[in-house]
Amino acid sequence: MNFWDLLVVQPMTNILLSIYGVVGNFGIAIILFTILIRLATHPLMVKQIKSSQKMQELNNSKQFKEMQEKYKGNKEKLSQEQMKLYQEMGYNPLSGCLPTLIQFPIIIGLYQSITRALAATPLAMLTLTRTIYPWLENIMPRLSLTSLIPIDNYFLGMNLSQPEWTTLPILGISIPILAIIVALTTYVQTKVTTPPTGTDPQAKQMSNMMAIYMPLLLGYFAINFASGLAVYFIVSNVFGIVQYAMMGKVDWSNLFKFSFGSGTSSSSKAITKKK
Amino acid sequence: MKIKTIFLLAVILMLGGLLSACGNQSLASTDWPGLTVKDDMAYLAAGTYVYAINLANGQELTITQGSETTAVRFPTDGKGGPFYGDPAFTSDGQMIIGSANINDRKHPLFSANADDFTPKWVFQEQAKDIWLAGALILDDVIYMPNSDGGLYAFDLNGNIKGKFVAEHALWSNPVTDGKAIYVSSMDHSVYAVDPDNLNQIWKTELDASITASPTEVDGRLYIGTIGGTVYAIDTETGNILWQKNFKGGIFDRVVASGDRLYFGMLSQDTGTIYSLNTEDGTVVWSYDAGGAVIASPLVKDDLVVFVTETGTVRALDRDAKPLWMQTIDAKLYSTPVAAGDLILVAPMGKQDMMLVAYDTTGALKWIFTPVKK
Repeated sequence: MNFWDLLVVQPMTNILLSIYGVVGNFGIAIILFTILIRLATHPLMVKQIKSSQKMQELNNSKQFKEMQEKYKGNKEKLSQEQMKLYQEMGYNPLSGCLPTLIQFPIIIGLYQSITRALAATPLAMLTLTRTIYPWLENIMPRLSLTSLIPIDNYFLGMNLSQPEWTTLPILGISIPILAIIVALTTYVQTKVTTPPTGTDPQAKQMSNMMAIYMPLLLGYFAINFASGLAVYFIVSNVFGIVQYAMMGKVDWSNLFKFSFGSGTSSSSKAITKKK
Repeated sequence: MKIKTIFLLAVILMLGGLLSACGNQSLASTDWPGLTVKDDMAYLAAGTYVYAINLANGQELTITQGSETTAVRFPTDGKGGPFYGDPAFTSDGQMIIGSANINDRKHPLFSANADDFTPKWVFQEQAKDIWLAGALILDDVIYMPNSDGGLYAFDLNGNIKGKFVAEHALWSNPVTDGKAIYVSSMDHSVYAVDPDNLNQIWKTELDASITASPTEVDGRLYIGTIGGTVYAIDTETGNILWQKNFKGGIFDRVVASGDRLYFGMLSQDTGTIYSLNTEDGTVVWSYDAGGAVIASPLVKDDLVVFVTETGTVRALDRDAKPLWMQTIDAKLYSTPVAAGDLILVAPMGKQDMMLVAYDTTGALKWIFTPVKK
């Protein structure tokens, strides 16, 4: 077992299986586990939001706008001055990236732990038997390897170890309902929780592209991979929106807005007003 | 803002790449070869093909049309797999193999002509999960276990005759004594099923999930569980005659020969080969394998040949005296198979060494490398 497995995937898989051992339903275990992880990474998320907010404030400041006007034709100089301004104000632009960076291995680990626990093939089962901590059964007998396996991987009629396709009774065609929900919730989450991009047209364009590509990417995964992952994506998206909403950072007015041009978007104005 | 946005996009791309790499159960890399010997050919189910290999020289079966020579494989286009189970053969010359492709919602079970792999029929869109095991053929009826818990029965034309449903997945080949079909399940149970109507005769619950087939000898079933317990079960009643627990898990079949049982254990990264007395399960000997033993041993004449996860092929005599050893640079998860004087070993995930043949002294006879298509 490599370090990644030992430090990330194995502990996460055991937490997931422990939840399953207690609740007895793997779908609910994925939901609870996802919420648990989102709660555990909540402080990082708050830090990230604050960092974005600070950057937004700086970018909307009079000083920055004057700077933009002054160095309109010299992007390099503008960038240098921008960095200087950040330094003066005591803001590190990478501080917003760090929380994302820390969350990244957690997301991958969570994903791998769900895949591992579902163990649909002999090799996956072999790996799973080596992943479960033997001492877990001392805490609770139902957490022993022999009690946990086989995992009941059915949830709401879906086999969580397979991609989900639902056949519509009248039309007789199959559609990937979960994947559609994944794409929709990802879109909604990206749109309503993305911080305002200020006056930078390139950043605005990137932000809008993310709102398109991220749902497509996760929707593609949901179509092709185990539906247990789709459950994770959906719960993660919905809970993410709830977390932002509880902090008053959700901007529903941004949901159907697409602006690839320059200028301050109405969404950024909305947030500015809240402040 | 620009730095952060670029960083976020990079994160998305990395996330996409990583999820793709570790998702989908990584089917290609979880290949678990199935192997059957019939007449002078070995049929190897590995990855997305079933290969037909001549036992005399280890060469793949080919056909020549005009000036072009092509390998005979099933399926021709490589679509339909991966295949995990042992190919099974019917009396009228069909090869039966099921798909283990999780992403194929049709979950096809294929029949092909054993001589040239021409497709005959396909059963699909009825099983709810993948086929990980091989079929049992009894009186021209094909009994095929599925991960949806169903033991499906077909006639030789692929028409479904009936189905027995266990509580959980069936991952191992069913066996028979001619009177009943015995199949083990991940639901911790062994089932005896009536071959005529697929009704359950008895069900015996064991301590853990069972990934291995039972072994039927003289009115008894011998079986091991991933909980590490070996059981002897009466085939008439399903009563447990004796049971013995060992540290670790048993993944493959307990082999019976004479008055002895032989099986391999895995315990984290170490493994042991055991020989038990069939009568009461007392340990006759144990041998430190030097690596996890996932596959069951092959017992041939006076040899007990086993393979380890670390790539060792070792032969002992029946009293555990080491005779010879070979190593392969690959993980060995499939049981060695005897073919006349040959011992066949199928390494996992080795494209240039998909099947290795030794003689009974351990001398290498040939290595099968697929013809490049």
